[in-house]
Amino acid sequence: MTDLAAKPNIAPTLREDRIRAAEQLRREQDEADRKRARLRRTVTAVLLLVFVPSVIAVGMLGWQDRQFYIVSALIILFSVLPFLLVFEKRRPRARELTLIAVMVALGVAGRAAFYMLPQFKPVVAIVIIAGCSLGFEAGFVTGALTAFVSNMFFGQGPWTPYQMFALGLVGFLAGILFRSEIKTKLQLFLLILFGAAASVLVYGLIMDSAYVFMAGKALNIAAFTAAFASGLPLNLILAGATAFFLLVLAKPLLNKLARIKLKHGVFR
Amino acid sequence: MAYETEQRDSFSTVNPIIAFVFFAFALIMSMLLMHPVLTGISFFAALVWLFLLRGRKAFGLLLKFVLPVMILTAILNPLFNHGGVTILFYLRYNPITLESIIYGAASALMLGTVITWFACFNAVFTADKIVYLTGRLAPSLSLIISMALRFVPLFTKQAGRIALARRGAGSDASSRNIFKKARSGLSTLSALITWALESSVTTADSMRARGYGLHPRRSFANYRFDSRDAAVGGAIAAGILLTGLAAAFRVFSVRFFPSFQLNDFSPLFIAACAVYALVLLIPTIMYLEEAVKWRLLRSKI
Repeated sequence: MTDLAAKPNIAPTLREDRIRAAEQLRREQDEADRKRARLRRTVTAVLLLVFVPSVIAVGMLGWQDRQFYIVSALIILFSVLPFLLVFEKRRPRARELTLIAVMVALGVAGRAAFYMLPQFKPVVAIVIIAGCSLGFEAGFVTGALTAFVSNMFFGQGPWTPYQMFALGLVGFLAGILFRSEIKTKLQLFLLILFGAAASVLVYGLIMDSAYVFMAGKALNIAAFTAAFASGLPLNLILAGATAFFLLVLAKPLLNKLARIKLKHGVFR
Repeated sequence: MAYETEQRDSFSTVNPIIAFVFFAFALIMSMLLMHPVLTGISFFAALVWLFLLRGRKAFGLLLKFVLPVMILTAILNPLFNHGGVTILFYLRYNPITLESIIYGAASALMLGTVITWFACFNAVFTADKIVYLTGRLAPSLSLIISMALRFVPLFTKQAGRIALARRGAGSDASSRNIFKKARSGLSTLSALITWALESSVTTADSMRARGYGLHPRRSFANYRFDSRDAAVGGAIAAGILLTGLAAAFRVFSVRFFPSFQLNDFSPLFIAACAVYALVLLIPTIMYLEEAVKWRLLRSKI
């Protein structure tokens, strides 16, 4: 700074003015960005938490004795698409794309690395970390694409749309509920609690319901209860895995991501 | 992934958009039309093609995965579904009805059909085709998919390099102590993640420098739309139209509850079934045509 100021051809005041003007401009841009982000967050939250469940409810009531699977799959598909298209329309920057791709690849590689242990997978933990650090939108995209890409290795099936929706929702919720840095033990504890709860109550519940829809069983409480009960052990393993991987990975990975964000000015 | 399969399946080379329409038709129709004859036709078509595509490997898939799911569904349905008028017996005060058993069998067949079609889909739709298809709808997402697919083997390779370097530097990775091993693995993972994140930014900068985002994205694979694609597409479109009409006029209607009822097998029904079977067998027909042509050409030489 000092030796630059000694240069005679630019008057110090002029340079400071320029710097101030640039800072002002940048602050205004940041403010506008933040406003737009807030609006997008409200819209997506309404879409996901109000619109989708009500469509599901209407679909279930209206299609009482038709094919449940196809209705529910279409609903799920139509609820995943808007998010992905909003993301697409925003014309994300190259750095955002590559960062999300890294998180997706980590999730896929994690699923592949633990293939011999049923349900003991770091996928949910990695999606939660992506949601925390990169925001709710990138969290949803990371979750949905992790499901899609990992199924390109493990086989697509009628479960694909549900997995995309369930993992996307987990990433979205993590992005809404948590900040990108973990400073206290309480924060880590809450994150782990959220991870375990989301594994059972969001991912597990959606995937177990998907089986009920797929099998075309009668849509009564007993069928759902039975599906949830039979899925519970596996869901608990997933919850344990998520808690374990969050305990081990959350802090270092979030720190690394925070450093990248700060260092390269991405996802601010 | 693109060139792993050794099959010479002719349908795998048609334009991905046509192939996608075919799979969408096969899957949606298999799920919507619960008529046992139609589900049977669909299951048969999917099975034959799967055997042509995967050869002996198809057996393993069927025995390990499709069959258990089907049996589970067929058994579970009557336990939870007590609709129907023909009560066969009571199981712990719950009526088990003939209709729910038939319905369970029908939905098991349906589920097996859907999974078998998906198995064919997985064999035909290689990564490059998926990237090609999504690239037209959502270029950024398609780019993420394509990068993530490339990152997975890249990360694996880099993890090996890091572990080797750590061993060279004296960090004992081959210790028998499981905790030490896990610790060493975590250090490798940590280094890998740092490297991956940093290099992702480098990649992004390089993309920008080379003009990413300046013009619409094109994919590596370039599929033309030739006369054969037009013929196959036309046949599929005609089949969709005819089957759709037949479904709309309730030719395929079936009732499970309260009592099981099938329509009489009218000539119209049989004709509609024949059309449905012909459309779903298009890949098989193309495969056989190719095989016959190959035989004939070879014997002449």
